[in-house]
Amino acid sequence: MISKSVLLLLIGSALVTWIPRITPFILGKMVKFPAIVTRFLQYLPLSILCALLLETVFNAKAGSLATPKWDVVIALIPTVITAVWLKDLMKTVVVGIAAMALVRLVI
Amino acid sequence: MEEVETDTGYTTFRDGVRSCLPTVLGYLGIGFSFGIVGINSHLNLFEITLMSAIVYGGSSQFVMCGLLLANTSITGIVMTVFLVNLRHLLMSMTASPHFREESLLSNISVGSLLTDESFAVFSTTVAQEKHFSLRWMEGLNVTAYLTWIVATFLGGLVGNFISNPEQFGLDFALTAMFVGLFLTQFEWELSKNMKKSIMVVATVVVSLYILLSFVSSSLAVIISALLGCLVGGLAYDK
Repeated sequence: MISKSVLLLLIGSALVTWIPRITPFILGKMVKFPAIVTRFLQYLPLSILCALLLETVFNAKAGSLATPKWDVVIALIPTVITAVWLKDLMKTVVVGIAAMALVRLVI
Repeated sequence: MEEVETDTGYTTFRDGVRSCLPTVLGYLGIGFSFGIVGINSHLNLFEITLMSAIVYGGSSQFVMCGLLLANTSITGIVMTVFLVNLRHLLMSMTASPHFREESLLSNISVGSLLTDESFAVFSTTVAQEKHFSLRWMEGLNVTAYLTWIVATFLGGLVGNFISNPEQFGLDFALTAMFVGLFLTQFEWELSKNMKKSIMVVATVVVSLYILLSFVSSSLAVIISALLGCLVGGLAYDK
């Protein structure tokens, strides 16, 4: 049902993902983070969501400038319009998927 | 947190489920395409479902499949997964102070199920200055978790018949979800402090683009997000 190497891989990957996820929650129970840390982290949601979004738009290769994925850029246009206009995440995702399917059909 | 009055819609487990619903379609799209990609990477249905249940990190799971196909060593893959998922450390650091009063076990459970998307929904709730309960957070997290596993399983079932989920645009569910989550957060931050929010976003955009030429994209995300925090924090009192 599962090969030994895959099982090993899954357990290893699960651990290296889980530990960073829970450590701050365990530490946070024992000590209070300094105010300065909290002050800077206040901007994390905005910063990291922006970074995660942009990361999906570019083809990155170390040593050369990142190039935009053009199919993603084109599909982004109706997606962003929907998001701004309707402010509805579910509709944004539907329009996005449909737009991308159409773009890939044409390109 | 129990002593504090919570806002309507942010109190019960069920409220948490409801708060998760807008993201459910995104999880379904991404989880489904992951299931297909997983099967086409020569993993079986049990292996991909187990992966979604114990790794539970969307982008890292796609990366794992790619590396498996490229015959990368187990150590190499695990190290990459660590880097790709390291951003959760920052999210957990940001979210954890809100759960200080809860038990250690509750803290571990909230941390274990924290994802980009649940963190975004959580952060928007914080930005809106809503008071929420632990049960609400659990409802949000558990709904996302179960959706992810079911979507993976379903994708795995059809994985033998579809080799390329990209032709249906399903992979774009990730980008589309980030668009919606980012814009919602941005709107709230703009309404609070327009100049500073624009400065933070501009810093992230410019630094991410530059960093992508020098470091892996997962490191670029972490460093540019930290630079965004730095600019926001330094401009604190203005």
